[in-house]
Amino acid sequence: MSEQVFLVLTALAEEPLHGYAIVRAVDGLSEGRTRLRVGTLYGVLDRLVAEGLAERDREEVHQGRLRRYYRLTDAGVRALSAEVARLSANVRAASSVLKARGAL
Amino acid sequence: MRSNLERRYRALLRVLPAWYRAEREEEMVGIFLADRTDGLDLEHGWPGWGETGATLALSVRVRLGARRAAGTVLRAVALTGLLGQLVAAAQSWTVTARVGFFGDVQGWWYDVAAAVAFAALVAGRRATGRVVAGLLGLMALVPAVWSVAVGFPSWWALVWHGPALVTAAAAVAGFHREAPPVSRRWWLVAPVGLVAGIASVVFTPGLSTRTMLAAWLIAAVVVAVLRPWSVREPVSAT
Repeated sequence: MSEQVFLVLTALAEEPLHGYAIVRAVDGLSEGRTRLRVGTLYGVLDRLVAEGLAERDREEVHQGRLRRYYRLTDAGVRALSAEVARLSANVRAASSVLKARGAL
Repeated sequence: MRSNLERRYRALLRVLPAWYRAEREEEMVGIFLADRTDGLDLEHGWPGWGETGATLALSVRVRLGARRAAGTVLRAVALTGLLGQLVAAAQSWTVTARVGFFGDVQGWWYDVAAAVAFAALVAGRRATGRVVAGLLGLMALVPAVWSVAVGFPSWWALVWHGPALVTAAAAVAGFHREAPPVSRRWWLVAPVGLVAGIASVVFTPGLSTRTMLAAWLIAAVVVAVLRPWSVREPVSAT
C-alpha cells in the first residue's frame, strides 16, 4: 500500500470527506510531507472505489460547486487495520535493532 | 464568471476522456481553485507542472485501467506481438539448425528478450516484463534509426522494426501496477505458436520473414474490432 493510499484511507477512517477535505486531511496527517495533486487524488479514489475499500457517500453543492463525499467501507477499515499492523511490526523490529545498537 | 486560471485548468482537464470529465470536472476544478483565491493568480496563474503531470498520469491510468477497453486492447497487442516474435524466433532457430549458421547474435538477443518478456508478463512479473520489453524496443529502435540515418528506405525500416516497437510500447504502457492478471491460457498458446513456427519453416520455407507482419496485422485487427476510442464508460464502473 502506497503512502498516499494509506493516508487517504486514514483520512476517511474518521468521517466521510469530500475531495478538498481529503487533500487538507492528508496534508495535516503527514505534517505537510505529502501534498496530493488533484489528478493523484482521483487516481487514488478511483482505485479505492474499484477495490471496494471506499465508496461514494453523498453530494452537496457548496458556493456553487459540487462536493462529492467518500467514505470508507468495511473492507477499507480491514485493509487499513492490516496495514497498520504490518507497519507497527516493522517499526517494532527496526526499533529493537536500533536499541541493540544503542542508536535509539 | 470564469477566471483565466479556471479556463486554463479546464483546458488541461481535456486530456481526460469526455465521459470522465462529465462526471468529475466540476469537482476537480473546485478542489484546484479552493486554495487559489488571489486575484492576480486567478488572472495570470497556471496549473503548474506538478498538477499537469498528475492530470496526465490520471489520463493514462483512466484510459489504460484494468477494466478499460483501451488498456485491454493494449495488453492484447503486447502479448500478440510478443507471441509473434516467439513464432519468428522458433522459425529462426529452425532455419539456423538446418543451415548450421549461428552468426546472427543480435537476432538471438532479440528472441531471448521477447521470450523473457512474454514469460514474465504471463507469470505476473510485470516489472521484469516491462523492463525487458523496453529493452526489446530499444533493440528495434537503434537499427531503425540507423537505417534511416544511412539512407535506407525509411518505410522499410518502419515495416521491419515497427511491430517490435509497437509491441514494446504496448507492453510498457499496458502492464502497469493496476493491470489485471494475464489469463493462463497464454501459457497454452505459446507452445502452439512455437510448434507452428517450426512446422511453418519445415513445410513452407520463406514464411518466416512474414511472421511479425502477420502478428502486426492481427494486432491491428484486434484494435479495429474492439474500437477502444468509441467506448463510453461511467466512472462508477471503475
